[in-house]
Amino acid sequence: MGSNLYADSPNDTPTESLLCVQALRKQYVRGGIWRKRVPVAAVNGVDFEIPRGRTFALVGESGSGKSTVARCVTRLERPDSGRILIRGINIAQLRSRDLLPFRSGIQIVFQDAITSMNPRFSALEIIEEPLLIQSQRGQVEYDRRNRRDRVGALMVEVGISPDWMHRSILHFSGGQRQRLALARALALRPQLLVLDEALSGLDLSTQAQVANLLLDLQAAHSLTYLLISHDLGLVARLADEIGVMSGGQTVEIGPTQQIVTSPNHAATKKLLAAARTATSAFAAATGEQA
Amino acid sequence: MDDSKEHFAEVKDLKVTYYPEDGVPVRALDGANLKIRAGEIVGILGESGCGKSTLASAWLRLLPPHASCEAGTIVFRGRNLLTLSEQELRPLRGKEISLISQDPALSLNPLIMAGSQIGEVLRAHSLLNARQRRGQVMELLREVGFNHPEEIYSAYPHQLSGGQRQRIAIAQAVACRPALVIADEPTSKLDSTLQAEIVSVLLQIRKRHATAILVISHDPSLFTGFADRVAVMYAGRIIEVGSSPEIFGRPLHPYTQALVQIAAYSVLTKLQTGLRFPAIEGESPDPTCIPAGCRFEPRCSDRMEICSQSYPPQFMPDPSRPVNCFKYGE
Amino acid sequence: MSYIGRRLARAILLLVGVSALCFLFTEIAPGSFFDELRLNPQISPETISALRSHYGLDQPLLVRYAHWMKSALHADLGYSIAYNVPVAPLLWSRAKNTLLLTTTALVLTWMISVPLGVWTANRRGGLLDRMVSLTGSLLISIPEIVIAVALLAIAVRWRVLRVGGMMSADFESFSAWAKLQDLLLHLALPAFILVLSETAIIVRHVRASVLEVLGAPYVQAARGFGVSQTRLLFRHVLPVAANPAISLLGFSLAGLLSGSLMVEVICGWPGLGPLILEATLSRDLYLVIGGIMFSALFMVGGNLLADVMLLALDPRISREGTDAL
Repeated sequence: MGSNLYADSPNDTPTESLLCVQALRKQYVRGGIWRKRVPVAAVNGVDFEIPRGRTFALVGESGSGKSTVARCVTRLERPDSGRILIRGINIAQLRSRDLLPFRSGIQIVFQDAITSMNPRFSALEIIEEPLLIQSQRGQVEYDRRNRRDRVGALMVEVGISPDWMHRSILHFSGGQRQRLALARALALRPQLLVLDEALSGLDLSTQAQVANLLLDLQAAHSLTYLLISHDLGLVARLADEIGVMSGGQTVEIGPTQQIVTSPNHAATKKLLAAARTATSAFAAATGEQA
Repeated sequence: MDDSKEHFAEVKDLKVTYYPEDGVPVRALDGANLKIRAGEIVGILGESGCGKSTLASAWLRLLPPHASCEAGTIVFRGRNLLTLSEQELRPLRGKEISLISQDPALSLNPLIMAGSQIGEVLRAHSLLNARQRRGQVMELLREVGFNHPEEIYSAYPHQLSGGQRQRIAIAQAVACRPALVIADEPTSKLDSTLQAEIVSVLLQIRKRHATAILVISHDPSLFTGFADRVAVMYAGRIIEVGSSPEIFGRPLHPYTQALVQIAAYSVLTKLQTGLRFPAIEGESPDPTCIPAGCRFEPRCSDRMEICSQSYPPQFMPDPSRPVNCFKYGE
Repeated sequence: MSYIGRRLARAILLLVGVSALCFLFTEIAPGSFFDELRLNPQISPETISALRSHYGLDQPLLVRYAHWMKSALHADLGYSIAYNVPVAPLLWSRAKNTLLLTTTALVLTWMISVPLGVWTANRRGGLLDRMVSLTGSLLISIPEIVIAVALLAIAVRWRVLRVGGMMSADFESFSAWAKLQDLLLHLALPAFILVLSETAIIVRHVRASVLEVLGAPYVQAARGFGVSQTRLLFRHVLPVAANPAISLLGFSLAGLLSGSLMVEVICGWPGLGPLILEATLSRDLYLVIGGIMFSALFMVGGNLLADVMLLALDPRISREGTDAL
């Protein structure tokens, strides 16, 4: 049984950073036989820090590199250089074997849950999968009944009736599937949850519901969130701090209030303008001040 | 409804049911009514499953084979489109009515150059030769906002960004100057920064060619400053219609009110994180068992006893403001 | 290294590996060419060992392998003990016959399968579709050898086709036109057997591939813009559906030398198959190894060709790693 790396030690200060990213870099190579081979720096110098229990949002347009950052932080990819410090330990270049104890503490939820779920599985099978994997690795002990109980409890927590646990995931709506994805992510009691455009592509009303769910879960489990999104308006309601990405770099970071009221960088202003256009025309229509 | 200007397209009492191979039949559209005037931009606002995409596809009968239009009519320039054969429909598709599908990432052929795909639409409906077509396509590319049309012409879809692909799809849709363009969730799969761009392209097209546009979306903020009128859909039926400022300034139906409230919440003033979103409780009804009364009743904060007993008829609290809600009954 | 370069290197390594395995297995397999002779009491052991050293069979494995490799690079594949001629020309003369048979079968198969597959996909559920599907299932479930023998029996009764071998006994005395006729009549039966078995499989793949593309959003979108069904099929659907078909074609090409062994043996067609079979049975060492290497060469070459074709025809294939976001 691996030691719990996240257990509170008496020396912890409450706002110690859970995740600290320094000088992160990752490049891919385009081109091949007919075209010249060109390296593309998807991430070219990203720095930010998330204190424990807080929400940090990484915003930027498509292609700014934010999804690559999400994949590096969760070690779905290995960064070329830089440090990713989880509670002070650098996981950036660790080998798979050494990463195992960290895996349960960091989980990720993607956009469009259906693409990350096997359509032949039932809700139960999907949510219990992490428990099965960790059982096999000897990190955690769960027999079948325990697993089912735990899955039921998780489903209740995300607002889906546990009676439906044997239904195939094809029978759930988009919003419900996203909740199931959250339940799966919570199965191993993570500390850090990365949400990669997890609210994009949902209906407005569903978005609001899932956003509220995120707030509730954070309060209940002292979760730390890394939100990745292109929608500054949405994220401003959820995040304590915002980092703006453009061209693979973090170009501006600051508390939400500051970013929204006095942006500095052009990219920030562009994102803000997009959010504002939607809302100022709206405000005019609804009679509120923009 | 202000009928002083004649409407050239009308949907009347349209009912569409899906018959999946293994499963219960689903009534996706349950009596939809809509009128569109020439050059008008009409918005359809609703969440997934309310039948809006079915409504979009029904015009040109581009529904999947297991769908059946069981009742109602779609009258376009005096003809009922639902009675036309496939042969008779083909000359209309792309030439008089065009459909822009939801996901720009999927709606372009991966092995054909972007410019050629626009050319295909011209080829289907006009007798221009290849050189003439190419010229037209360049013109269209400029019209939808590309400054270097030659580069874009010979690009393949996977080399283009989401916003660029959507503009190619728009170019395809307007290539033959149709009278009506149906845009199904044109910005839902794109970054929010691109929304203004796409809206401006569509507005330009309406201005230049007096094209009517039927826009479908789940996001109210798309319609502000864009649509002339908005129809709100819920569970297969239209529940409220009004002009754009009226719908958002003074929404009547509790569902519309709740949606407007959520959209307004992202107005970036009075910021205070941790406050909850003004979400609507519950889910839209299971389409396989629709309740007898008002379909929004289980989630409505203003519900009354009569609401669960019978479906609210259309009331008209203001001229041209039909709404199906008992709150406005006499 | 470039994409093609890597594939080529891999192909060469593969061939070397096959040759090594060949040598190893023939070494391990029991028996040798001279076992028959040994049973004959009139031939002395000294004669046999003299014969053995004459053919170099008494040398250690690695030495033989090294010699073989060296000569192979000069296109000399050794000597056949049974036929008493060099291996390479013998193989080649037989291989030509096999290639004639299999290439004819290949061309016919694809000429039939592609239109049939496209047609049945386009009119899914129609009468032709169901008939083709049923026939295909039958042909796939019945073992090829049963089909071959059955057709052979019919051909013999029918007496129109000429059965057995590639040419009639008095071939040399025929006029040019009669020679061609004779060849075709001999070719008809084995080719027909091959075409039947392969078409059944390829039609299914083509049909499935076309069906899948027909349902794709971009095809539906094009249909929504009024593109005619014919144009849709040929310009929008086929190029995309061709992708998996090209891989399949590569496999077909790869099997040009090896897929017809059984048919050749049954119909008496003088191709590579019967030769290798005989050689294996009589432990004619270098003929066996040469034959296998020949087949392997075709197999690897066919797959390489398919890869190159795919590369040239699909603009999406990324040559190196994943695309950046």
